[in-house]
Amino acid sequence: MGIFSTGFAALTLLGLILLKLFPAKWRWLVLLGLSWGFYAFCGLGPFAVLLAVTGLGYAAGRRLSALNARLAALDKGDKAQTEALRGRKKRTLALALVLLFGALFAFKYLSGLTAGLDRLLGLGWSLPALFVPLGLSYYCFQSAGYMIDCYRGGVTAERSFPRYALFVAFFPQLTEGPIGRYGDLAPQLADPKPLTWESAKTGLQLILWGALKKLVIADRAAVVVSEIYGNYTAYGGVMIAVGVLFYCIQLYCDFSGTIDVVRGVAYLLGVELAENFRRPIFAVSLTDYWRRWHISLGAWLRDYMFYPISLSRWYQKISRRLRKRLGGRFGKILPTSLVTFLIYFVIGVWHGSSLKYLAFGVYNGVIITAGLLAEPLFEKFCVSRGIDRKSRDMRAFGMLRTTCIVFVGRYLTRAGSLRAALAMLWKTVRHPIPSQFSSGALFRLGLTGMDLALIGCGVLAVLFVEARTERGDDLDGALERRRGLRTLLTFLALAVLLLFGVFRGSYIPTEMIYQQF
Amino acid sequence: MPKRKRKKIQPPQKKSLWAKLRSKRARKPMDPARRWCLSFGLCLLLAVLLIPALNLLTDPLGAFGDPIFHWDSYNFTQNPRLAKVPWIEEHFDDYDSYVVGPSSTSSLPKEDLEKTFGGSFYNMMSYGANWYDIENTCNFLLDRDEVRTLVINAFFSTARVYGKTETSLNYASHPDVDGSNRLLFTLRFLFASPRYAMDKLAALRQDTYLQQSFDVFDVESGAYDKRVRDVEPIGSLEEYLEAYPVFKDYPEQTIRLEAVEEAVAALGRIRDRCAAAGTRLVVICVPGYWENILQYAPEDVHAYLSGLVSVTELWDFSLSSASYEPRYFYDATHFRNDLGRMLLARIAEDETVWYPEDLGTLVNAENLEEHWAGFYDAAAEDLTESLTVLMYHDLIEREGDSGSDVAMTVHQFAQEMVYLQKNGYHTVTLDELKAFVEQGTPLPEKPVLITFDDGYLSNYVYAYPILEELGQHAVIFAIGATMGQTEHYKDTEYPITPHFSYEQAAEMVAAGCVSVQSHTYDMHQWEPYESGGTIHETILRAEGESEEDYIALLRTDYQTSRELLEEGTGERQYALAFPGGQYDTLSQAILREEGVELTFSTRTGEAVLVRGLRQSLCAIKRNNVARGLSLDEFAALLGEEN
Repeated sequence: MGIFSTGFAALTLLGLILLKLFPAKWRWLVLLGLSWGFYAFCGLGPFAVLLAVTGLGYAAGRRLSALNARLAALDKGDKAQTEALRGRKKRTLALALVLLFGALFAFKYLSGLTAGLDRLLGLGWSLPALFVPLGLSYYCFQSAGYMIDCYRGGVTAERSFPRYALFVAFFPQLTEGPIGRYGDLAPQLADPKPLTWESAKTGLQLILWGALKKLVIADRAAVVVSEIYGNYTAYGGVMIAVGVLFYCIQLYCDFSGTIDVVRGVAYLLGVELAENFRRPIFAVSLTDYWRRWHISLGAWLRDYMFYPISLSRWYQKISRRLRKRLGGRFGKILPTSLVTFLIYFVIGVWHGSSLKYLAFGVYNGVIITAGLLAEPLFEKFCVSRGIDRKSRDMRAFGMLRTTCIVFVGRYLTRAGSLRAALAMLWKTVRHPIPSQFSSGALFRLGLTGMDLALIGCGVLAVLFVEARTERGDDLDGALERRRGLRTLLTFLALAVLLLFGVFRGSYIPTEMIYQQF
Repeated sequence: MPKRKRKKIQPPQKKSLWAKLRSKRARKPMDPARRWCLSFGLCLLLAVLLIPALNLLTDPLGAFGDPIFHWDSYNFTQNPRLAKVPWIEEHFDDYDSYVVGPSSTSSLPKEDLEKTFGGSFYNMMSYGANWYDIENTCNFLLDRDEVRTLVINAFFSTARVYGKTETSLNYASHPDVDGSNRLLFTLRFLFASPRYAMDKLAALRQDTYLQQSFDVFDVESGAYDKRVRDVEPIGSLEEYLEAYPVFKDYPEQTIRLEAVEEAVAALGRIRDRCAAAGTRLVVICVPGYWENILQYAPEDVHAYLSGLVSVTELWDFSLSSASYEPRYFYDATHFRNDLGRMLLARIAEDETVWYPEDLGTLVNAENLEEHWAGFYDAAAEDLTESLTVLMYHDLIEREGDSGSDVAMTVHQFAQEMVYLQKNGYHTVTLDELKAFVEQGTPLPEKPVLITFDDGYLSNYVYAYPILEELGQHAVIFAIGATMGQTEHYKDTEYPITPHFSYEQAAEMVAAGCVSVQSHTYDMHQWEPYESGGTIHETILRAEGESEEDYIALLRTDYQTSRELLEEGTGERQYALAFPGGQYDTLSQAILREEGVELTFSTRTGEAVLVRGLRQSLCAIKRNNVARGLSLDEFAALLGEEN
């Protein structure tokens, strides 16, 4: 059951009704019931995995908090005892993380990996594909974050299993993220805010905006994308670039649209989720881009990987040695770059197990590392030429540069294989065949002129809203002063969504029906 | 407490509702968020209502009587099960007989059904119908109309499953037919995906005179509009298999008939109802392409046939030599109208229409086993005839004489005619070609057809005497506008190669060796000589010309040509050679409507005629006989091997 299904809408509606009916202290239980019901409905196997992961996180958290409590109670002078307890804590966390990521690995990557090895080495056997529980990566990362927080003592472990279970399984965010933090989420989930006009407005606006992005723009763009990526050999470079552009549109509208709907639904249910996208189109560098795109994943990796590694004693040691050996700027930057590289490698692998995702991780890591290394040179260059790096032109240049880098990266993530991605890139550079584009090939990709116009208008609308928001304009406030216009826009948005958003379904295109007879 | 005080002082007065509301609003400004939510709710309601409004007004599937566009052909195409019902309910007076079945039923032409069974037929076929649909439709018709004849197409596919099989709106039935809940039906179609409506609006802009994939139904007959299929030029098998690759690599599979019992029971109930109503019931199993028929499990086919004949006799056409001729089919289960015509002629024992000898058996309980014993014996038969059609233009007495660009010497022509005679060729007439296709009358040995284009005077002066002397036949396609012109091109001062007159044409026709047919009246214009107006060098629609104007022009042009020629020569007009060899589906279809039965193109190659398939007379191939051709080259043109 996806976010954009009647079932999910019904579930949300049921949730709203039940939250209204039940007294405040039972509301969190209502949410848990719905969340578990939702997940169990998607399959009992995945539900068992969810329960197991929840159990693991709960037990590990309790244990870590208990150890923390014992540590705190210890006499400060008792060094041996402190060390012993710290060691146990560390072992507990390590074991829990190994189990957790082992499960993630087993379900998501193992069969792909053995198949890959089989292809590479000709082993003659590979593991059959297991089912991939819906949203597994999200709730594993969320649980891991919780455990690390418990380890650090930043949060005290949840005593009640069902309350903890709700944190793991809260249904709006269960399948598509964002990856929540226990400290932010748990208090809200324990006592969901009652529905107010204000939260209803925010929630509905998010849902409407998200659904427009996803159902009107992204699902349409997907048709072009699958045509061009699927038959890239039939197209010249220009058309392939068009396909990649549509993919960028699809990916952003799909992902951010879904997250908007998730956040909207959570708002209606009285829970405020973190933002996952902050207008990535306006990123001035790749680092900035990853701070704006899939924020919760980036932040997770920063807090639970980047800092722990780069601040760890062993890594400090390595970097000190590196600095000594290499000396100068390079020695200073390299240690940070290595961790950065590792993070982007993980981001790549997060998306999937095939070679192209590894390449995607390497691509991002290399560019960011290169950026860090080149930064002083660039700075010097700017100073010598008297270029103001904060000027509007430089920002625009940065945005354009970042867009190009991201654009090229998108060849990798959607192509059938790494080889196909490279072939597509090669064609874009060497065999553009622009005549294909000018001879109206755009209209033979499975979309009508009307569909293309809708995508075009939709993208313009998204860009407009994002640009104004980026500038810090209060669009909502501005519209509040023009109520007629706002009502008209609301009506238009709803009409467009209803008339053009129902893109799938049991509909058979006119030209198809007779052809079968 | 000033407020309470004031209230006490003022006498209670009646406030209007509006005033109350206003005072409330004035007292307490509404929370902006609340106001937004309320307006959102209102907008949502309005937007949601937009969908039923759109569906109701455009009615893309014909559920609500299509109040604005009345585009029945489109609605039928989207869902024949549904859209035909309200239509026929309004037209029961015009019909008294019906044919029911799956889409292959569409190839039983209305006029031939009426010729065979009498009455006025309506085709109630629907996509993928099984016996559930057939019985519902029969009941619906018998309930509402006095039915004279009910023809059921019991093709094997109808017994594969029983009941509603498809859930999409394109397959939904009408409550009047399947007794489904009317409210649910209405709601379903009111809230249908708006894409249906958008498709219809888009199709409206693309609508043309001929049918397209979105409006394939002929509303008056209830069957597919076959105007396009019926003028598709069909010739050699190789070309056909190229054009219809489905017959080349027919997929292998076994098809089971899972619903034989239900089918037989349904037929039993229909028979009883027909008997009670005094309706004649005819059950036909239409032909299928042999590879398709052989895919049905034989034990199932036997069970099905014996079940059906235990109820009533059955015309079984499913497998015969016709099944082995792919050109009779446009896919494995859909045959061409001419095969439908043949099978109906078989039922009526109509001698004027040719059909294969083994086409169809009337099976009953007595002869079932005998029929079954020979069921799979059918085999392919050669149903075709090939001939060379020669194309000549102008003749000149000797090399160097003035004449048109394509002129050849009389000597060359005479030599070639003598060659034909000496080598046993028979110059056939158009009537003979037509008789071969329609009645199966064999063509003479080594047939060849001689044709002349444009109608030059030289045809009369030189060719006619030679043909007469040798006892040969030829067809001359004359341009109406230049008939009898010997000096100037129409009413201009431009010189013209002389053309023969109507009197000369009449003389040749009367002699019996020449047929003069149309090369259009004035659609073979020569642009440099024309002034103003839309110029037609060929029969095709000119650039920028509207479809409507073009069709009117083409009709008038052909009618003028026909009237003048029929008046001038006394000969029936039924053939036309396309000027410049150019033609398209639209021009073919219009000419067919105007009564043109044979058309000639300039595509080169052997002309292949197929017995029973009248469209093999469309755009017949011709070989141009070039000036200066040697006799060896001429022999090669005739397909002779050295």
